[in-house]
Amino acid sequence: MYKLNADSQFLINRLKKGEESAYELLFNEFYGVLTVYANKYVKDIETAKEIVQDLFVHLYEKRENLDINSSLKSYLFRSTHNRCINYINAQKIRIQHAEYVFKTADITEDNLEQEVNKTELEQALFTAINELPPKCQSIFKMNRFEGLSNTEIAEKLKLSKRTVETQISKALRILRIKIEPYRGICIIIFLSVRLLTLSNVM
Amino acid sequence: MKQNSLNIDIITRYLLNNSSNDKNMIDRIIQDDEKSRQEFDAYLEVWEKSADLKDFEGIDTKAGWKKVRSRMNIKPVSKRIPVRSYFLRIAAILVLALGLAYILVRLVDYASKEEMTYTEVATTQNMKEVELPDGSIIHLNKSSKIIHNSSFGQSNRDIILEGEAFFDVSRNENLPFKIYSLNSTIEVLGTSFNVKVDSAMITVGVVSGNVALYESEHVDQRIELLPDNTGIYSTGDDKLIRKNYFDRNSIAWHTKEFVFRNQPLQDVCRILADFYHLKLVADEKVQFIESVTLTCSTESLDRILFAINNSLTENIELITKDDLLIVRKH
Repeated sequence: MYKLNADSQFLINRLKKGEESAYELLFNEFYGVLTVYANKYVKDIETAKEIVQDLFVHLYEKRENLDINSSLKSYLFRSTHNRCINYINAQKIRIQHAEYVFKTADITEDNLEQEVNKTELEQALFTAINELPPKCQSIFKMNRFEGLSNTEIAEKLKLSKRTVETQISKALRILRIKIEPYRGICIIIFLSVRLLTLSNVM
Repeated sequence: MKQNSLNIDIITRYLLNNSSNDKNMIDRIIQDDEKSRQEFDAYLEVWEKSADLKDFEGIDTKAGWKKVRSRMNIKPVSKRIPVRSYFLRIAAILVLALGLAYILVRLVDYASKEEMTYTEVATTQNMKEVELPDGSIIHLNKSSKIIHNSSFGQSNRDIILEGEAFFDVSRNENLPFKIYSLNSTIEVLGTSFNVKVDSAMITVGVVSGNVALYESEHVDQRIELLPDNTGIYSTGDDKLIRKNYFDRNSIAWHTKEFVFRNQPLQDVCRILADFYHLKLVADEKVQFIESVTLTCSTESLDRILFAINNSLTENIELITKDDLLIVRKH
């Protein structure tokens, strides 16, 4: 999904120089996925947006002392993570979130990677949904985002229930194929099973 | 149906309706087949994950970047380039002027968009004739509605139609006249034609000129209709059909006359029953072998029936009783 090679030293150097276009590139690439990631902690999309925007402003202000050891991507996710924890602590809403924060405050590199993968899969899915053919897309969104039943959608769009079901089928088929690459582990199991079956046949 | 292969339609039906029958069928298939189980899990994951993605919709990257950029205090990297040539200066001024002009045009455009208002004309019990700003005339049938915005005739000729209307579109090659209903678009330059929108079907009958009909998303898959063609679009199967035939009597509501030319009596009865909202009842002894040739006004059904009854040679007659149109033997 990331067309941007976010780990390139070249990009990091441009960021250090304060080149606007480098920041814009980075922002376009990561704003959505980081906001969704932040939203998982703060459970408020506007707050999540602000946290990520703050992060980017901070990144620019501290550009001369930018110290990125790991990849730029995990740097961004980790920073977002820390900012969320700080926010939650500052807001003193520990009571509701206590458990989750406790579990995730000391996030390990493995955990972070898992969370990052999960969020990236979500973003891939969202992008894929937005690339569905318009009719298919609006029907799918009405069901999944707005929670309308197939009967309600059929009535609203003056379509037959059958058409609604066909369109949702179509959406599922396309989406499954598109997000397959992001479901790394599953595909490995799937392939090995296929290989086993093949070797049995042979 | 093959029991050992997983069918996406069953999965969809199960996900949508949560029926235990479908679930049982799926369980039976996936318990023995690892590949099907993986497949089902993949669909389930798409299904469950997508319900949580609504938040993504509210994330506007452009707006976000604008905010961040305004807080970043970016100082433009400026280099002094000596403008040596006189011509270069003129060029710079010209570019600036053009740029300003462009912004001005865009601003005016933007302002006019801001003030967009919509005009709606709707009928209930009566028909209505509407003249649009571009000179086109729309004859609205009963229980119908058209909507257009304030820039109709200037930057667009777009109409939304519900119900039925007869269009007399004035010609403008530069600005196609478009009618949107259900999922379809009807596009013309200047012609006259009738459009009827039912719950899941659009019927276009062309009197003169050319009319294009297409599913709004698929402009490339259009059908072109010529005079005396009928185009039908049904939303159920997204099908576009062209017929080389257009029954003018289907627009009698607009022409206010019926023209029957050697038309089988059965058709005539059906057309009349439809038009006057009557139920057609035929005596079982009646054989519809005759045809009718007649031009008459839609004003009085009694007069039409009188004329038809006089023209029939067999001992058949048409009468009305309550909401019935009865065909019987003398």
